[in-house]
Amino acid sequence: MASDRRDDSLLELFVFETVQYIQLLEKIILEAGSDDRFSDSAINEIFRIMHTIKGSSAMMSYEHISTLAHKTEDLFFFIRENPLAEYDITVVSDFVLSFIDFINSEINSIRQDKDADTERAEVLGRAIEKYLTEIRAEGENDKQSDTAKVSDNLYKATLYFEEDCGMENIRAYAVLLELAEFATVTSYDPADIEESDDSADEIRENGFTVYFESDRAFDELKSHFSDIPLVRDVILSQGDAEDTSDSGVRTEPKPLEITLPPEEKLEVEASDKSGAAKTEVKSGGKAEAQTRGKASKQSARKTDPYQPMQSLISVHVSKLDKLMNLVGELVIAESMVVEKPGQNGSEHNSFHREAVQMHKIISEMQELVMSMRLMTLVATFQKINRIVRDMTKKLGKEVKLNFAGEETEVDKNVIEHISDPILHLVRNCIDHGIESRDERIAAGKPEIGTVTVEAYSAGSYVYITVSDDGRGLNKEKILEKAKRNNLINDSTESMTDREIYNLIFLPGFSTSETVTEFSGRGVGMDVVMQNIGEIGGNVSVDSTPGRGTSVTMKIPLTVVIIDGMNIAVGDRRFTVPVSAIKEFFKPDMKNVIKNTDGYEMIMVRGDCYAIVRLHEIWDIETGVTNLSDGILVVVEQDEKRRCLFVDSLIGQQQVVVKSMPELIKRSRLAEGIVGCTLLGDGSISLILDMNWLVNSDIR
Amino acid sequence: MAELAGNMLEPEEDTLADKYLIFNVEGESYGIEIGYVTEIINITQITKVPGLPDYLKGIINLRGSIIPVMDVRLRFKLPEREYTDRTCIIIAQIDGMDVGLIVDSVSEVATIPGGNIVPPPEINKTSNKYISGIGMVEDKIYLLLDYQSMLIIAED
Amino acid sequence: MYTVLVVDDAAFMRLAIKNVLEKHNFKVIADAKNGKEAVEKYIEHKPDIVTMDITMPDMSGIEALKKIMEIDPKAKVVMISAMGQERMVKEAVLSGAKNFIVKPYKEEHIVKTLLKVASEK
Repeated sequence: MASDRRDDSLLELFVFETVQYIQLLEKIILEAGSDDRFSDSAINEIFRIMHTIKGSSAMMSYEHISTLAHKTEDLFFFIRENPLAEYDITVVSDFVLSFIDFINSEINSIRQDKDADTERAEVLGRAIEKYLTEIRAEGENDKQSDTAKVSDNLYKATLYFEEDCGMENIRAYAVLLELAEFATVTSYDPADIEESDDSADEIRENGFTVYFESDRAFDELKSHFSDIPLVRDVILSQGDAEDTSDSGVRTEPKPLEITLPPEEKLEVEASDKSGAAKTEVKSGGKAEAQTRGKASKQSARKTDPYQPMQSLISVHVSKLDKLMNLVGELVIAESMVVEKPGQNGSEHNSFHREAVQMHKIISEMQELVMSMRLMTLVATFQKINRIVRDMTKKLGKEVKLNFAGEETEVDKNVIEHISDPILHLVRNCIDHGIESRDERIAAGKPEIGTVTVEAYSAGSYVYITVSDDGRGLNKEKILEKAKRNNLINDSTESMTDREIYNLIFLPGFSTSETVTEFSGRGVGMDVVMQNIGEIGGNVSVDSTPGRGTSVTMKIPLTVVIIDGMNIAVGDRRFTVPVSAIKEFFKPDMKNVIKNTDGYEMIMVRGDCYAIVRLHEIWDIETGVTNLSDGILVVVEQDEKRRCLFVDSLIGQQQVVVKSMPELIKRSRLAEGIVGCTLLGDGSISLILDMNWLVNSDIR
Repeated sequence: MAELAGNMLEPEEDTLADKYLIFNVEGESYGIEIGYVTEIINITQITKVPGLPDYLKGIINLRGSIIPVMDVRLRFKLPEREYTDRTCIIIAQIDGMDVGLIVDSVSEVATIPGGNIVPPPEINKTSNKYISGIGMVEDKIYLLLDYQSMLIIAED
Repeated sequence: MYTVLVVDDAAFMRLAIKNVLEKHNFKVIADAKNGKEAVEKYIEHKPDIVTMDITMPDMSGIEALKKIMEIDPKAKVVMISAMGQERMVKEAVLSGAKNFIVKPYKEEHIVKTLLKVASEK
């Protein structure tokens, strides 16, 4: 089945699904936690995932992944078929976690077009085989463990019913009843359709999935399902070796091609730039409701009310990013147009009304784009699980992890910025916050420390709190350290506790007394602060000695982001929207001409542009005053072009647009500036107003 | 960092009345109603913004919030002076709008009962523009800030 | 054109369903206001399809469904139920109802369901 020519979209799908599977895998393993044995459903699920990865990676000619998945599958096959077999759950869990790490790194390699690490696969494969041989030998019931039964007449069908058709669970029940006439149903999900009418909600959201065996042909089955009244969509797949357990609690990862009306749900495929593929599939109904656009709903109905619609599409996240950038720039453009008095006939009565109307539309658009990018914190929280497991094992500390609000949804961009801070904070809790067992017992606290990660949204902010019930922050140490690092002056008697605690966020402050593998790597809380600051949030800490510490991050739900080019003029920093930049170059002085008024112009391939010296119009001191020493940036707005003269380009990056403070906006000062953004070092860069720069009478 | 007791910035609601944060500019003591004050920070990096009157020095990044800062000396048309480590920025909030006031130094929180305050004498149209009253406690005299009018930025 | 027997104790509902169906090329050849009448009318008209309300006086919809299925195992009966009648709907499905509609229903749901049920062999 190996194909030499790999289709890019197929590869993406492979990566997408595999990442989903291993996330699920990780969740199962971590949930099994301190149990002695895996539950039946966990075993079945792991087995199934391994089987799927085996198959899909073989399709993609990743033989090493396929082989390793096969070996892991064998191990779980044995465990499944021999319920009495003795195995060490931590050993097996470690195998699976190593498998997960391996897949993660392989997916990175695939993304970066690097060679496969076959050696690592072999080493891990051999270890798994060896262990399997051991436990086989231990148990007398040395059954033949063949490969999984793959049968052509095994099917999986997922049905989606029409919206608002009601009693979805009974409909599912009727489907089973009918199916029973010509097929053997092995399992279905949700499993409680008969007992619980709440399962109707679940079906509405996730569809109804049934695994069955039947002699009928694929097409015949497909049309059978499609012919069931009020079934809007069916996904039928064949040959999926499915366990025969009746585990109703299965957490089935949703297939990529589920089809729902577009206004209800948009699946977002996400992968970050570093290449570590991260994927999220939205599962909450909340976001769906938000994404629901009334207008599109009606039109979708109109097109063909009686045909099931194939209308869910996967959108590459880069397109969403681009759309969001465009909307971000639209917002800026809007503010430029609206906030200019006396221009564009704004004294005209209707201008205001029309501006309000435009604002409404743009806001709605922005909201819609934002909602498309919302993701839950589930994956982020899951990463925490893993860290806690690794750390507690290494440090010999036992820690209980509590989560709340993982279904809270935030912008994808925000997630990228908060993942590391959250992990860092959790590491800190375990490393420094939670005391050793003896210390805790001596203090009369529960032996096992607790770390709580909690998220909730209120207004347009998301609050994420990471807290522990450990020893709390040491005020004296903080003050001492802050003084030592010259972060505060000597008079500190007057500082409140809170003020003292918040010193830990200052750059150059790190609370770790001893450097440990997990937290003391030179990055401190200031990095947390910086990351959160970049997306317009802030961080505060509170602590009670002996009772614990809690750090709260307040983050805007969504942010407007544009692609910006940061430039330098003297010691000032400015940002130009990349979309406005046509080109930039070092000028050749022979192309520069001065007109009779002394205005400078430059010829570029037959076109002549006026040169705007930013340092002159804004009176900025700089050593770069000769055109040949700096850079000319050709910008365009409304088909008008001008050439900005700047000292140098700093670089291109995505920037979060912040509006200028109310006082400045209100007094209509700061012409030429539409907003500002925070750079990585916490300094402010001003976003240039292209409209003003190309239109105003400069000088 | 602030040299001031935070607890004096967070007094009980009912004790807010009559309390003023006292700061110094050019040797005079000024008072601003404590209710406006959210925070006091040391002088920090200020980003200049083109097109602002000279007394609006620019904007600062306060934990992710962008706040304009006003040099009170220049607002009072006093000679400019270089910032020292005594220079403070008083972050004050009015109508949900944050503004930072750059002052020579901050000294204390004083209680000035209403009975001890007299209106400023009228000298000419523009004098005492930003002063709402003159407070006296024992032998000390405080000029009380008309904070709202400080924020009326005329395009002059 | 498919022929339909509409069974409902409420005249309003009978009319409402009839209007919807006739708009979509069904022919409502008869209606009945209780289970007993439904069985009689079924024998008399042999409609292609029956819409059957569940709660009715003088023999419930379920009883009527069972009777009709006894008389004609190939009968196509679609139940009209209200929210909260899950148990009864389930019983109806077990007793041979082809499908069901949940009130308040959408016009298109009723049409789609009847079209599909009627076109089954």
